[in-house]
Amino acid sequence: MDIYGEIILDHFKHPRQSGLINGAEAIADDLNPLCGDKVKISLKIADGKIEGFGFEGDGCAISVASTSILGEQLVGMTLADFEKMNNEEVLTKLGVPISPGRIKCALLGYSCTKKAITVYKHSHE
Amino acid sequence: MQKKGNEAKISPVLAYTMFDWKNVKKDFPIFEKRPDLVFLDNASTTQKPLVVLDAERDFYLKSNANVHRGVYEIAAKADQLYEQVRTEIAEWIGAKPEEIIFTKNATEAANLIANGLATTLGVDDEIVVTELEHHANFLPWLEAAKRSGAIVKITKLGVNGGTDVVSEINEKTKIVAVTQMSNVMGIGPDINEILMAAKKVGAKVILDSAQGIVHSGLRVDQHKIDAAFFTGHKLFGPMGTGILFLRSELSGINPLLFGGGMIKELPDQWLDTPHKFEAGTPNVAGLAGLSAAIKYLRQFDVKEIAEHERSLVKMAREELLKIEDVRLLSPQNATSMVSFVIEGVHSHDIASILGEEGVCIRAGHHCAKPLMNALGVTASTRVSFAMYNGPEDVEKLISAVKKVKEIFT
Repeated sequence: MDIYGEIILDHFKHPRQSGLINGAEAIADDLNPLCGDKVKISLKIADGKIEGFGFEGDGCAISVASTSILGEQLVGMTLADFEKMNNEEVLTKLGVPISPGRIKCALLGYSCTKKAITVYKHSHE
Repeated sequence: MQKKGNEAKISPVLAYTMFDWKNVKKDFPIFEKRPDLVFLDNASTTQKPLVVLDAERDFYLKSNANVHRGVYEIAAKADQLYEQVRTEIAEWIGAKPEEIIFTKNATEAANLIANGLATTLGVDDEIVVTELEHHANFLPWLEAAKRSGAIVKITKLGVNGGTDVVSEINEKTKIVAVTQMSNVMGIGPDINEILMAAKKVGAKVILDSAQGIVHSGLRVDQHKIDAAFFTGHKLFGPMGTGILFLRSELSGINPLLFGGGMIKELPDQWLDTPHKFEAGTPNVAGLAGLSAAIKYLRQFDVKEIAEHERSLVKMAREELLKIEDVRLLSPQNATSMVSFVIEGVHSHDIASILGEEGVCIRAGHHCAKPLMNALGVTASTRVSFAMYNGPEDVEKLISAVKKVKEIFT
């Protein structure tokens, strides 16, 4: 199956939840030093639940599309459920095979979200 | 065939079609194992001819022993081989054998010289580098400056990939460290001009020849460079073989590595150069391979190789420019590479699609972030040629780039 399938290209060209959320409870940025992909993620969190997801980024189609796809899944998810997620699950949801050289791109949004949530949890302990 | 000894005269105009790259390709077994391989990532590493693989294997088969340790026959042979390679490389670049130091790669060589010279620097001394540098000839100097209080001056990228190094050289300049050929732009600053200006103020000139040596050669007897470094794996030799040319006058600098094989007397009386810089077991088999690679390369005329590669650059540039949204970053006179971006498509996506088509190129910042910033891009795509590439490779490249455009339109 082609990595640049319709869904990936659609999310790259029209990323969902594009743009940062004003007054977000959690925010983080991350980059992939290999190719210079950058992403910034903001989360609206209330009662242990992700209520909003917004991001901006400068990156390849895989990193932008995977962050966009991730965002769609996360809105409405509890933090407890988010913590149960893992890399494999994130990659599977993309629906296309990701070669080893592109895994970091595909997981950039996820790792940045984890970072934001970790910081949020520390400040709310 | 362009191997030396052939009596046929080849006009420069015909060199492109006359260069027998197809025959050259047969010397490289990877293309037999993978006949569809379109390898255009030669600035990153080159493929290896069979003679190189044989030389490495031969060492392990027949005379494997450590150097500087044993008195038995094969140990003496290993020693002899090790010093023989040093002599061959010295002769090739016009140096004395004791001016050739073996390292594991160009990066280690750059660190050795920068670390060694750091102690000779004082506060407000200046080190001049260019925006064209690979991080290997950039970060070691930043570190040297941090430790000594010296200042790093970075000359700006000018038009057509040029950079004005000379006007940055003044009485405060102690070191000028420049690339012979940028790994993104395929050209480098004028070394003669730099040498003249640097010598006037007593500054040392360090040359990063990692890219340049295979396409333009290196003669340290003609160009009075104080130090130069390169790596074996970009000139058809094995990985893990780096060379630092260190002019005798600089042999008093501190070693980078300490340990076995570099000491005369404890605690800190070092052996003479080059051995004081070569602590630990070196890559003797790799150097046997490098020796074979250099002999292989020297069968050819470096100018004919460059001419052949320039023809491929020209063809690639012309075809790429026909594709909408392609913007070339490297200049027309680049020796062996073409760097470009496609507006709206990230270079990693280009590389992925090309990779699926069997076309191997490199995408990213190419360990040259100052240059990427100067060019105003976060990443770029680089096609780099070697003597075994031919027009067919360019055709496959172009059809793959067209596929990128189809996917992203």
